[in-house]
Amino acid sequence: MEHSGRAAAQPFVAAASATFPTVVDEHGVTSDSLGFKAVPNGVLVDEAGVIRWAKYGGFSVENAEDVAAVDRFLAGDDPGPSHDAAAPYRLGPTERELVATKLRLGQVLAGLGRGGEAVAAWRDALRLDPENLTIRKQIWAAEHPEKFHPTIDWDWQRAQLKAEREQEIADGICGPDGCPVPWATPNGGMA
Amino acid sequence: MEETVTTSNTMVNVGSPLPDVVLPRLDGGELRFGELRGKRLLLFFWGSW
Repeated sequence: MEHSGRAAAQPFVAAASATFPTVVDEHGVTSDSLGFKAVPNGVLVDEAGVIRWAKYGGFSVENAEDVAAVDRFLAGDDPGPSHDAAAPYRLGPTERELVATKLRLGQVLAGLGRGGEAVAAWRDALRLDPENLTIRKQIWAAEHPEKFHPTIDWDWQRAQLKAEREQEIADGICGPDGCPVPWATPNGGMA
Repeated sequence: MEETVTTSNTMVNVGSPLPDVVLPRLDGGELRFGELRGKRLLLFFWGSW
């Protein structure tokens, strides 16, 4: 998930000496189709292309349980039960297209060095999809690069999220229990 | 047009087919998820932020 483009992902893939294919999702295609609004996620898919296990949020190769599930699956066994994850709302098709268009516009503007306008486009996308942490973090990374390089300041992110949520509640965009939006459907799962 | 809404309250879509999306590869070209059929896969979704 890199709304600013593939260059942002390259150093991490190189540092990991990754030998597996890496694809770049600049416009939220995967989050749209699978229904997630945050990362990191792990999804196990069988030979027939069917999802057999998924962990949305907090998936990590440093988590022994996650690694064990992957190992079982790759050995040909049942990976075990998936973690429950609350289903977020899903946007309607028109709004999803509009969000994707705003993300593309922001990426083009960022590429032209028009950072302020890029962030404005991403903010438009976030206002349509306010629970989408991948968009929110893209804005943070553009506006506060020092909080992301050379290390990611997680305490800052938590405080920033809390402050922005409080402002969104005050502005009437979101309620205390989340951000219901009128054009969304109430389910993030697949039919 | 409304999207199909299910009664499930979790998003773990175990048992559903992986959506067949096409995305640019970091090293050039494209990858269609459907091309990976026939192997067991771990898909890891992450961001640099």
